[in-house]
Amino acid sequence: MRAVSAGPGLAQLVLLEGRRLALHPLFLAGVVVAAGGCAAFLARGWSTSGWTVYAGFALMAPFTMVATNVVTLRDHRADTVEQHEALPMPVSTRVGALLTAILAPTLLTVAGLGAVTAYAASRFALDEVDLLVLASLPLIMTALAALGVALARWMPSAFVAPALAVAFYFWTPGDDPSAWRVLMPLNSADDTGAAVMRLPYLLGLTLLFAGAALAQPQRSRTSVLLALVGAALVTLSAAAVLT
Amino acid sequence: MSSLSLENVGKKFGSTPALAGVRLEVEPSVTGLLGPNGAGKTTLLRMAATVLAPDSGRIRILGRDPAHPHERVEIRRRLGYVPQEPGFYRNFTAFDFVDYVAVLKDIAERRRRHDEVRKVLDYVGLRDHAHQRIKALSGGMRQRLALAQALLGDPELLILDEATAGLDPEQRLRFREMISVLPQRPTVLISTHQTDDVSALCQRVVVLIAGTIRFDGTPAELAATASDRVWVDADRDERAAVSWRTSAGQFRHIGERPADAQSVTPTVDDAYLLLSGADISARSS
Amino acid sequence: MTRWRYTWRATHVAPWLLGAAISLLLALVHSHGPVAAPLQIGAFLLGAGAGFVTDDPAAETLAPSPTTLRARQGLRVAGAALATALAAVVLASLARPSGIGEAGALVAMTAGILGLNLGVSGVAGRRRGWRHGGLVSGPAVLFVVIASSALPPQWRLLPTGDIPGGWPAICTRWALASLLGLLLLAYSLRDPARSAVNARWWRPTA
Ligand SMILES: Nc1ncnc2c1ncn2[C@@H]1O[C@H](COP(=O)(O)OP(=O)(O)O)[C@@H](O)[C@H]1O
Ligand SMILES: [Mg+2]
Repeated sequence: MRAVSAGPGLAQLVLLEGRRLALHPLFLAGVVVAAGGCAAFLARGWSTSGWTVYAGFALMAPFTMVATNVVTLRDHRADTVEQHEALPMPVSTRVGALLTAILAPTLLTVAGLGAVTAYAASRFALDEVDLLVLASLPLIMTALAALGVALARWMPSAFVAPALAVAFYFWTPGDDPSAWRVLMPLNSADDTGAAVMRLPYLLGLTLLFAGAALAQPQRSRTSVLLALVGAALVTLSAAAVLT
Repeated sequence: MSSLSLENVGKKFGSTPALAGVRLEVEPSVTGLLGPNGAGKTTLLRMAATVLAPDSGRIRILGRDPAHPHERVEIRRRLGYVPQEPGFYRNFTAFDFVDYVAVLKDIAERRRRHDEVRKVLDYVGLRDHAHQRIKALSGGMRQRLALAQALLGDPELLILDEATAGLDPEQRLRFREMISVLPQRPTVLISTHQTDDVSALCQRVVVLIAGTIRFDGTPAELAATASDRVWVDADRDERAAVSWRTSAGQFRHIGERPADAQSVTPTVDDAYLLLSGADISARSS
Repeated sequence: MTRWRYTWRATHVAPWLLGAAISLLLALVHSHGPVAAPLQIGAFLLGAGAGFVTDDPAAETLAPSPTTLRARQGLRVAGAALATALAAVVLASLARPSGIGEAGALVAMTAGILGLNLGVSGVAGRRRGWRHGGLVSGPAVLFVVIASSALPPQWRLLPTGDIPGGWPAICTRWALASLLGLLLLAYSLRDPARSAVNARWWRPTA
């Protein structure tokens, strides 16, 4: 009964939240930062400023994380937590819709990134690592966006996500070349092996955070499954990078 | 001297005019501000409470100019305000919250302040809950707490924005009692969209619709504007502006009465519906 | 005294305390790498935490009180600024910067980020009924600082590599940022009953 009625309602909700996220001022702030990175590359070429494309798009992720966090905290801010708990649609469905809606900003990012990559590849010689590193960018966004939702579910404070965004920003530049730094979400890999392994690692983080977000206030089979698959991916790929 | 005077006051939010050319003089009495949602009641009351400045026109409150810093402080010492959605510090007790407001109202001496706080809490019937945290109070108690803080320092002007919304019938009656027997007999300006509050409590009623004043007079005068335009019939009459089936099973009609229909004595409710009827029919068409 | 006590209890200080705790922890565990890192993070966390002090759920109820908006918020802001200054000194002494120049720059940065946060929080708070200033200010200031990397080197708030003008130039930059933030704050704390039409310094004699 519920599954039948939740179908179209869920799709509507995903569209609604997707639009809200894609038009969120913080996501748009990320877009501005990414555009700045691309502009620097266009002005100075790939060999000197190719990294600014990466940096710009990577920085979209923490902004999107704060955006998903703020959107998830909406009920809390408006004091409508109880009101929504009384709705026929279960909380987990609404959180699931929000998690699915992360696809909206991500797809927009993929489109922009694809255009820049195609242009760069047609003008400059991009190597394998470059391409892998660029391919990891949308996954950084999904991982941090899911983290934003999970944080809001577990720690309903508007301060936590921005604080974490700051920490990611300052911890990322890797003048310390130890291998674990590659595991910081915003960092990039220098060799093909690590660059390949970062893809399942980031995917695993996304699933893990999504599972965590769905597990509050009540664990369900889906949430446990997502978290377990995510944790397995993270563990295996992290082990592969570190050894 | 009037307690509140508005001269040609206008206010816009973006391009929507919330108030346009409002002229109003409020004398010491209980005045009700009646109007549908979005009519501009809150906007008007916020101006009267020195919380919002008009875009155009002039306001004088208790004979003073709220735009002038020193006079504004003098107004605020003599003013009580219950906003439409009063906010609280949920971790405060009722007593602490009112005490904090008293501190901000410059009641410095501790003994006198605490006496005053106890007095207003007693008055609104919160004596037994004074040391409960606000988050543990019910909605009706919070509404009374909001009234208690407004009564601090015996205000000369009391501004209540939909203060009866969300109260149960008994609490509404208690509330009317509290407002009507205030010892200092302050000027009370109360907004509502409930006509029975107006007929029960107010010596004067001002109807505000779409940012302009459409009626100003006593409740009886308001009811009289509908005389000869209210009739009762067993069947629904399409010619009426508004009609509804009453509990007696008959239809009560308001509008241009057909010659053959028997008119009945109008109420404040009828007159208010007739005034806002233009809006209602415009919306339904 | 009572006023201070009630104001403290009415103020949303948890974010600031959390930020201070994290900064302190970072400064204690950070043993290698550039000294600046934990202090820079600390500056952001303290500043973003301070942005929450203007949030006031009872703002509308208290608005017509004879104690003006400026006085009510000023007390909160002064407390936050004082606490942040103390925290910055503690953090700087823990991190042992290379010299007076670097120490000064880090203190100036803390002041700048604090000022910007308070300014943004004030403006956002005033527009939204003093509810979500802190929510807006932290991310907004982070954005401004990151976006300033696109400016010419002499205007970047977080310069990398050689800094034209050295530490004094950075101090000046952050001091200006702080000043700008405080001006925004002062503007946002104007009395709500003042307006262009009604506010007059002169009055016609009756
Ligand atoms: N702070 C505000 N910002 C934008 N529009 C507002 C604001 N306050 C009121 N309005 C608009 O002004 C009009 C009158 O609102 P209000 O005074 O709250 O009406 P009422 O209290 O009679 O329901 C409405 O159209 C409302 O949307
Ligand atoms: Mg209203």
